Amino acid sequence: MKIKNKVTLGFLAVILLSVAVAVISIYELTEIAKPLKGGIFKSAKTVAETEHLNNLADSIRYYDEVLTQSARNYSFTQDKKWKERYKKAEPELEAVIKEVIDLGDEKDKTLFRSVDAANRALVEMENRSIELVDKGKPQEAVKVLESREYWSEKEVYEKGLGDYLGRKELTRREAVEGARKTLDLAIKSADKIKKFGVGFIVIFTGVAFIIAVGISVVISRSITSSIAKLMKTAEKVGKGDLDAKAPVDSKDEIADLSRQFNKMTENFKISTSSLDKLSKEIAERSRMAQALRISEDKYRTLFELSGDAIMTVDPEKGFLSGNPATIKMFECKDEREFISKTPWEFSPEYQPDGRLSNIKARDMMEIALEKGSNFFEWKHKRLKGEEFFATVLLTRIELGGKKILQATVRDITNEKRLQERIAQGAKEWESTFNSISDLISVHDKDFRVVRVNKAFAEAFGVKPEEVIGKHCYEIVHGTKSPWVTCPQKKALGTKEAVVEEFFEPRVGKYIEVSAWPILDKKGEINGIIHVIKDITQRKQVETKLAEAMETKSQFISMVSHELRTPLTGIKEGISIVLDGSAGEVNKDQKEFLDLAKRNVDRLSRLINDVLDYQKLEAGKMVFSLKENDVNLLVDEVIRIMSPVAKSKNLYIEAHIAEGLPNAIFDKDKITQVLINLVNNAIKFTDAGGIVISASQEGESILFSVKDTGLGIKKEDISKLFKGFSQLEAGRERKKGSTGLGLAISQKIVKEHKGEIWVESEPGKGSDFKFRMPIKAKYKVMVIDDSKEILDTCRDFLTKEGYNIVCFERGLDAIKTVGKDRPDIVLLDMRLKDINGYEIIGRLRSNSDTSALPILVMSGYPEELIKIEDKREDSALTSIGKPFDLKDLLVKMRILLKQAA
Amino acid sequence: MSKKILVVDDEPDILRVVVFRLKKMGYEVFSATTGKEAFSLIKEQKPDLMLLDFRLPDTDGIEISKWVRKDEELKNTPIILISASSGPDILALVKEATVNEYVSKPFDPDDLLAKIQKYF
Repeated sequence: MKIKNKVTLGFLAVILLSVAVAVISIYELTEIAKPLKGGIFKSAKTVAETEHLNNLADSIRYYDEVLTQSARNYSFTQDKKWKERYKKAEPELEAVIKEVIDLGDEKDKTLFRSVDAANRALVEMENRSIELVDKGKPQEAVKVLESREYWSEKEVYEKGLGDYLGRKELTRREAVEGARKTLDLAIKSADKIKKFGVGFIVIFTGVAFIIAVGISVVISRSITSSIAKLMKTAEKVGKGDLDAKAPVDSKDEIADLSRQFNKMTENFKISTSSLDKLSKEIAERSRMAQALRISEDKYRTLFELSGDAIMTVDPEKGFLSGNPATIKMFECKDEREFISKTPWEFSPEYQPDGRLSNIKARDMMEIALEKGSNFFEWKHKRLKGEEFFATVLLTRIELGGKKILQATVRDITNEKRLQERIAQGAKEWESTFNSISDLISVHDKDFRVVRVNKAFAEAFGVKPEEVIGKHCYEIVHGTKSPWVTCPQKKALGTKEAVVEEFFEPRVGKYIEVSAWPILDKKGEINGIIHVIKDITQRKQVETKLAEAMETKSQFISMVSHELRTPLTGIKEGISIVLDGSAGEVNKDQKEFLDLAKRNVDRLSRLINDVLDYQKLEAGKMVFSLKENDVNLLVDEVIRIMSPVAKSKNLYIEAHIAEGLPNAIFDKDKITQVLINLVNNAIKFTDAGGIVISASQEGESILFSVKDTGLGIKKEDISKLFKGFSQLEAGRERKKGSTGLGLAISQKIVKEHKGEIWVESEPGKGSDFKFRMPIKAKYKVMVIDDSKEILDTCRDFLTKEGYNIVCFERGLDAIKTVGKDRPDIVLLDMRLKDINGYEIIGRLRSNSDTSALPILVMSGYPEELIKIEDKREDSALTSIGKPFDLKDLLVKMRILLKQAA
Repeated sequence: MSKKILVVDDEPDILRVVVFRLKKMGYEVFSATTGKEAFSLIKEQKPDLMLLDFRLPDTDGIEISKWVRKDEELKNTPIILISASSGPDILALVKEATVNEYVSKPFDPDDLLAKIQKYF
């Protein structure tokens, strides 16, 4: 279609659309207005009619009134004017009634006929009265007008009129209501029209506009799109695409143009295609050449700089090239030398698998040629003879149509060495693991076995590889869940090694089980090393040792006591002879008796020392801790030792710090310590003297016994305080000492929670020092529900220098045990609130009190046996009630000593 | 001429008792409490018999006897070792030192005298 036609068609369509819109709006408006027109007229008419009829009724009433009054007045007055008025009004009334009947509807008519009839009757009677008046019979006339007939007609008449009026009023109301409704409707319609008018005009005008626009777009597009297509084609052609064709899809002038354009392009294409082909070819060739140059450069760089030895080899002719790394690896002078060698010259005669190198190498190359590549390990040899391991990657490449191989060789000597070392390490570990006689298993954190050693496998009658992945408790305990006291459970929680000892009745052995967590870098548990150790022998030795110690202790104690008896006899015998009671003693006799007595005394001293030492060691020495004055103590020592010092011409002095407080200690024992020290000092001092000093040092008292004697060699100091050791030293023996003095002193000081040591310089003298707390009181917690026992213990133990806290209820005691920090607990087993076992359990489960000495006091033998059975708890012992307070003290002391 | 006996012991009481008894028996007795004194007396007096205490402050009886056995002039002098210790180790030492007799403390005086008289 021609463009002109297209545009015309568009205009026509728009005009048509506008007309359609106009028609539709008129029609719609008329439709809405229709009900309005009739309604308003009709109601207006009804109202007017009704109004008229009402007026007529009023007229009737009026005329009726005029007639009735005129008739009556005439009959009474006989005045002619009333007759005239009557006659004038009568036709008026008749006319009105007639009008009503004419105008009214059927009902009005019916109603009014009775009114009309009554009116006629009334008129007739009134006319009669007028006639009678005229005849001169006014009384007669009045009679007519007041007759019953007249009034009944009057009534009918009135009633008819009333009914009519009522009806008319109703009709009027209806009419008014109808009119009002019609009016409302009219208002609504007006509204509707207004709305419709606006909406319709907006919508329809909009739609019409859109349609109009749509039409114009379609038309313009149909024109412009073909132009655009043509233009695009032209552009393509301009850029050199001679294959581009303009579409010919319409029948307008543009289609003609496109056809012409296509033809032109075709011609142009034919003339240019040959030239184009040529230039394309040239571009492609230059691009390829450049790419080749780049890749060659890349390859060259890689080849030259690579740390790996890269070489090319012709399977028939030998090496073709080798990079610097190759030259270096095989220790050649340069590439020329490398190429001059055959591949076999760089290998030992045989490979590790025993094959000849040259045969195997050929095979390897065959494989590479066939498959494209081959990767393998090879033992190489440098030119100077050193052999090394390498990996070789042979890759088939084509060069000038010939298949050759590129070899990449990497020296793996270090890797190989590392591998061997790892393998060796693993082997050593394995052998070590399996040679350990303890039963070792490694578990993951879910108790699954990762590996076990030989001892483990043998002990449980399994093969090491069989148990991997199984739960350890299935193998060890034959249970479906971890053992109640499994240390591994604890270790998983604490992440620390857990070691436990117990007696395993199933095998009759003492077992030590330990679980050692394996932590990863983050500190999380990776697994567990579980070690089961048979410690039966150790336990037996321990037991035997303890028994032996006990036997020794008893033996020494017994022997010493036994020695005392004959000794007493000897001593007394000598004394009797010596004091002359058995006869006179001469000079020589006296000399030897004195000698004998001296030696007997020495023996007694020795026995006493041995016994003291033994008692102290067994913790059976009873100490009487009381408050003492340090000044008095030192004075006493000076008094005892002065004569001894004087006999050697030595001075002895006391230096006591002023204001030294009284301290709690066993006076006899500390005196013994000081005398021991002073005795030693005197023995080893030939000139000068001894100074005893005492001073306060914090919460402790420091004693010092300083001499100007021989001094002690450094290496001897450590032996000094060991029991009996001094007996071995000749020098000591000469002085007639037991050698136990220092050992005993040390034990006594330790019993006072103190310490003893020596500072000495050979040739200048020694300074023996000891320090002990001013209030070395042990704190004793007594738990018993008997007040009597509590009081007894408190009195006795306080006197013995202990601090006492008493509890009647176990729970109270447990609550304060952390605060009170007692050194020992005396526990009654049957309390009112909780039993003694529970208290023991709670104390033992707390790390602060897990080793707190507990002395159980019970009057029930079965309980005592139970407690004594708990051998593994060395800080627990018992005493039967009733007990001797001295025995209690001994038991307490033993416990306290063990705990220290 | 009475025989010369040297007694060496670091315990004065023991020394006193032994010396007293030997003198009563008519021997010429020298005594020493240390090794040093003993050596000088041996050289000086050349005793006919020696009673040596095993343990001395500066040396011991074994050392003295070894020294005596090396001396040409004295090597045959009878030596009796006295010791408070007894036991196999001492006996071995006795053999090694080739002392003639061994007496352990406390000794019986008659036994000691019998052993001395054996050499005279």
